Amino acid sequence: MLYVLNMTLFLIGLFIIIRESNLIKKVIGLNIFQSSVFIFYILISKVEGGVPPIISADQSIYSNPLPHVLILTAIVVSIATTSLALALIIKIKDKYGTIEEDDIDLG
Amino acid sequence: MNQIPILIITLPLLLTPILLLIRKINIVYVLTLVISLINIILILTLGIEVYNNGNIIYELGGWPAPIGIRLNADLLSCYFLTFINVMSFLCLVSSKNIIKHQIHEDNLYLFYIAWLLCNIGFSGIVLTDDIFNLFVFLEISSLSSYFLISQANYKGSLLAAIQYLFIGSIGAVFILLAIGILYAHTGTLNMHDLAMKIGQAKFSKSIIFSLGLLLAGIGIKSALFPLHGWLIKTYAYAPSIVTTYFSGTSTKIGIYILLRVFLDILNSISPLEYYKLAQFILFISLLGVLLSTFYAVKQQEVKKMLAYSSVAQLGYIIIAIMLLIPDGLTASLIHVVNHSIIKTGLFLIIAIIFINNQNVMIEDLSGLGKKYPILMSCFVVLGFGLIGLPITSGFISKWYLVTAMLKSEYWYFTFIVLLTSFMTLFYVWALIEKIYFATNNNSSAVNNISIYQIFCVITLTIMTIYLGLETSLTSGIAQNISSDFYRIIEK
Repeated sequence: MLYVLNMTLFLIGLFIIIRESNLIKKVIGLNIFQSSVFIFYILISKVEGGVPPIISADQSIYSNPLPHVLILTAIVVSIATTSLALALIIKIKDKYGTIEEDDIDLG
Repeated sequence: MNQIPILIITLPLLLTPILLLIRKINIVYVLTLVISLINIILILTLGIEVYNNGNIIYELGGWPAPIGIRLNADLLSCYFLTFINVMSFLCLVSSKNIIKHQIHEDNLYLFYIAWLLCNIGFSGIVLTDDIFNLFVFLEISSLSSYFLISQANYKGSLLAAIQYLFIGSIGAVFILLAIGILYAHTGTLNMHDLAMKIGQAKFSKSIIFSLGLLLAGIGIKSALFPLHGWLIKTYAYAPSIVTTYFSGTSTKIGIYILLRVFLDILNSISPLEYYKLAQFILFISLLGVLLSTFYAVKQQEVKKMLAYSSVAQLGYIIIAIMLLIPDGLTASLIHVVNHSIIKTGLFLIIAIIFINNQNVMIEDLSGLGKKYPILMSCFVVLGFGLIGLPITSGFISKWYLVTAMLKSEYWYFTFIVLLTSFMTLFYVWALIEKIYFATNNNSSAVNNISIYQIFCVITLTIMTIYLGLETSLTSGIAQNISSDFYRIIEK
């Protein structure tokens, strides 16, 4: 069930990126899109009956910590992408006077 | 010797923050050149060592394979690494007085830093043995390439950059999700480990889903036919030297990932045979070759014409891979290098001569044959290479491609290759005709061409002719690689 919700989020994000003309909204879509994959990684790291991976004497099953670490890297990448996109949007606003992709006239 | 793979990545990576502090453009430029040259020397040493003695594996931090991250330099890596870094170096050498006209002065040092980072990303993708690491390096190179594209002062550059950013990020996230699914199935990220465990994993629909995601993501990066839209815009609006650089490298990296993922890591489940995936890609690329050649003939703008021609040539490469026979893989590997050299050369000549123009129309080439005899004769040789006339390297790759097709079950595709080669003749001839047989009405072309730039163009031309006459270098290595790949598959 969680995976279905997760994939719904994935599709919503993809839809926004493709559908919207406003660049800021596109960036928001991109963030939703990326976050859905981050949540996917967190979902697969959960082990049934597992506890947080801190070694203790009375526990033998732990959740997998590796996906969390991977996603930490991916989040950094995502932040870099977002900030670069926002910086470009500021430049676009300066240059063309609009952030609606459809209104930008290159002619 | 074992340390070389990591040095290729870390030396430039360590230099970038230092360059950020130096800021003086001349020093930054010289240091960038020096580090690129050192890299090429390291890569050649590595390549010779790998060719003679087999893979070199470097374990980061001394952690053994499935737990730690490894760098693995095999023959395929070295093959791609060599030509990508040589192209990068040649573009850097000739970049100096081109980018002064196209990029804001304050950003010049940042431009070179982003260039280095982009190249580090490419080298990392090729060297790494960890599939998540591949994603990270892909993003390093992509992020710096968005920056490089946005730097031109042309009208459409910013828009082209942000559109490439969105589509590139979609591709990268697809790849990330696919990696996640593969990890959930196998519990490992190491490529060798993954290749072994994926065969034993319980097969399910989600693996097919991840194959689809990987194909879409890689397709975006390598400009597979219906996903090539970004390439045209990027090539037209990026600073012309960046276009030159990307034409030889960035899409080839997509091809590398395609080879590595579908033919190496996942080959034990033969991913290209589900739902006749290989045939599907084959026909799509064939359509792509036809349509983009047609568009190239119609184009009046030289950069866009060459961009469409790139899409067509990438189509050939992908068709050759999708034949799924060793000869096909050999042909594709040969064509990767030959096309990279030819297209870099053509774009470089355009970039050198028209430093102020955003749009270079065919008309602008009128009468340049008299003005720049050396450059233009190089242009003609490279153009012949693009068509695939004898004594150029283009002929060799077409030859291998056609031979591979005749050996496969798709022999009738040869007609289309011959037809599109013939159509290539049309658009290349349109350029040559203007260069030599039109009267000179040109004012936008420049005069101050440095000796280094001419040296780079001549080097590329000589490489084209050399690889056209002496084929044992490319085809020998390519045959080695493809027989390695298919030996594993047949097991």
